[in-house]
Amino acid sequence: MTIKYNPNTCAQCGVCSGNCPLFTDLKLFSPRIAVYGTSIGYTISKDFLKQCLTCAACYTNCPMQINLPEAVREERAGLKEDPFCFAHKGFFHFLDKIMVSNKIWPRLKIWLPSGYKTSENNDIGYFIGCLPYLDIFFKDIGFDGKKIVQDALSILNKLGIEPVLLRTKCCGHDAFWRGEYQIFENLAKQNIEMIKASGVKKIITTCAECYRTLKIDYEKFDFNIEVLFISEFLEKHFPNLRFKPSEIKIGYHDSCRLGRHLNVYDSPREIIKAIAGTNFTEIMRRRENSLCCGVSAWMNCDENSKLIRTQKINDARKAKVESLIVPCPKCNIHLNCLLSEEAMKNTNLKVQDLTSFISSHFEGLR
Amino acid sequence: MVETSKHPNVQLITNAEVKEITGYVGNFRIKIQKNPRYVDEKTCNGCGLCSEKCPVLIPNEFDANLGARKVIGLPFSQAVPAIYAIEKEFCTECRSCELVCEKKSIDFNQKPQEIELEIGTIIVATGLEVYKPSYYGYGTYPNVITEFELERLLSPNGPTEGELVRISDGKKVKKIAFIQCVGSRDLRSQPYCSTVCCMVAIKNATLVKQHHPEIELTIYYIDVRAEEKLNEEYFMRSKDFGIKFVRGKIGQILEDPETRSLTIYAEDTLRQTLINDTVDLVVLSTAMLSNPSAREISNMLGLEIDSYGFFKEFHYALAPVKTRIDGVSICGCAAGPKSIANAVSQAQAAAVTALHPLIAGKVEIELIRALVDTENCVGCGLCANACPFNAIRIENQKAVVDEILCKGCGSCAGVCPSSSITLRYYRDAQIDAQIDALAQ
Repeated sequence: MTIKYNPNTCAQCGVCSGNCPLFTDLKLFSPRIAVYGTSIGYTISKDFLKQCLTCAACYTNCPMQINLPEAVREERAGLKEDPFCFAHKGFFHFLDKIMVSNKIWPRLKIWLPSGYKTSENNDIGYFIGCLPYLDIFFKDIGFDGKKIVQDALSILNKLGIEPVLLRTKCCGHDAFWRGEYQIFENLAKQNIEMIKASGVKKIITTCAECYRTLKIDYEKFDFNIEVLFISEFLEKHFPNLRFKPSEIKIGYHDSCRLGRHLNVYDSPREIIKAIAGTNFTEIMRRRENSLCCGVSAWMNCDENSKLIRTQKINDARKAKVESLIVPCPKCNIHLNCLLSEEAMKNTNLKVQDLTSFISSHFEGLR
Repeated sequence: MVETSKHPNVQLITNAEVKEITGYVGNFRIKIQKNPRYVDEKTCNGCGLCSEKCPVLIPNEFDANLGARKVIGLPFSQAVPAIYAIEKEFCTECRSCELVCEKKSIDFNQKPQEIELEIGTIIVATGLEVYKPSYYGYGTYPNVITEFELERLLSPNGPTEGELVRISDGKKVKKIAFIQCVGSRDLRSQPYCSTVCCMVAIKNATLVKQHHPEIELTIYYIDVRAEEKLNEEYFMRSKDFGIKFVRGKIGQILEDPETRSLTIYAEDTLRQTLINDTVDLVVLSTAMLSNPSAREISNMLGLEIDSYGFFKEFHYALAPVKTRIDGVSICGCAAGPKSIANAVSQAQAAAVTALHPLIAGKVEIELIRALVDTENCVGCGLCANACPFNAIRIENQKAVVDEILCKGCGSCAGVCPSSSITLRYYRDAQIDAQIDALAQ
């Protein structure tokens, strides 16, 4: 469970700033000062609330375990006006708002191609999340959300599992972290109703953000169905799985929601290692120190965000990685967006979703 | 140490473990298991021929595993007694040592020996353990070392004979960063301040600067706690040597996989700027931990242990070396992190405390003790389990209280189902009478 924010134990050591991806030579973005301010009665500055990525690099490495991301989220909720400049002209912000309506539900049957076995009655359900919407918007940068769903279904089918396709909306992660609790609560309650009606006992997700939201943030709405990330689910079947080895150099990006928020570092690595063997290379900033993908909750995609992403790509290039595996569709989008730019045209680097990567090398049971 | 071993009144038993302690002040009985050295202690004269011939090298624990030593040898050159020993778990039993030993001292058939001693008083000085962090790349980046490892590197009899080099490639060091409070003041390991690391880092930094003034040296600290006598002056003077002090703990360390140099990221919290620097060595001032064996000893003696694993003193300020058990004193880091000066003064205090009952030949005890009504007692044993001082035993189906070990705490009286145990001066009738008097 998340630890409550308490700034009083802060020793002002500055480890948070040393780990913060936004604290650079050019800019004074110091989590330490934010914590100091709150410990003597000030609120966190609007500028800080606007830019913080809530990536938890500060909190994970903090010797006193001061949960600043939690405080940022709460303070955002308390803001009267809407201070945030949203990326993509606020499209996703708007999407969250209209999704709250009870009349709008995703039409999965039309969207998803046939050929995958799903059932209406099974203990195992698959949570799709926002993938259908992201799909429409990011086709041009090479992101294919539909493929992630197809790949997840194909993995599960090969294991002999016919999952229930949960007809749910966005998990509400972005609204939650922007501090828009009303939207989050609405989405969460609708989703929980849908999930409970489907009768599943175990939910599998392929998105790091959905995973965190379902596992931690839905708890307060009496939601206690077991949630598993796809790599954790596969880990249980691990000795019986058969993989086609990968010939190219593979790297892995720890996304913040999966890694620092939920401490899932090893299960994706185990699977990648089983596929890539010695071709798996660790990139420089990894695990607890992993660099964020630069944007969270569709807020402020600016030059800082681009700088962080460039650093990430450079880390991967330095490690001579040819394919960087990411467990979160958002990280996938943000990194692919940078790679699609003119200046990056010559980069011999592919950013690939974890589920798609596993699926393309998965041959079935032993 | 040598003087101690030569003293006619001191018997030094090394390479041994305490297995059992029974009895009370003046009459402790201790069972000790003396582990074999596989070398005869009486005949070995420490000539060193065996060590020369031994073909097996093992990591030298005294040199923080930076150097190597032979399987047969001394743990370190000043070890007392200077009798060689074989590390059996690494030994291949090639028996070359047996061939060269002129005194025929090598004996592979030695078995652990049991010694029983009668002891008047006990001093517990189990010392400390150094914290080994799992972050800052310690253990994966070769050039991230602890203060202890740096001390061995600087020592003339250390693994590099005092040459300060990068661990990864043996090249000269140009830049060093020290990180303070690694594992101390940290909820991930120990929330307490280890008290000595600031001065240790300043001492080591000064040593480095005195020998190599060209090395650029920065200490990243949260607070410099130079609290004991002359320490503040030492700290001020160290700046004259050119040691830089930056207020801010290093956030992360990244290693260049090719050159093995380390890039550090920190916030200079006073200038409020990012520090992004490449250094050759990072030295971690790691926390002092309690000795893991302290728990076992505390169970044997009935001592209290705090949540960090340190022994609890009788009173933090007024009886810092006494414990709740008569005749048992503690000193040094067994009771908490301490500087050498403090540990020495505690050792002297503990020695005197231990001598006191021995010279007097008697101890005074209070009379508030548990009393057993032998007619009612059925010998269920609940009191024996409840006693925190191991003062009650069951003999012939009756509880027997050792009046010297008993401290009159009343735990037994509380659990006794037949009310057979009472406390002297606090018998039920006495308390009833007091209540009656009050109620009048």
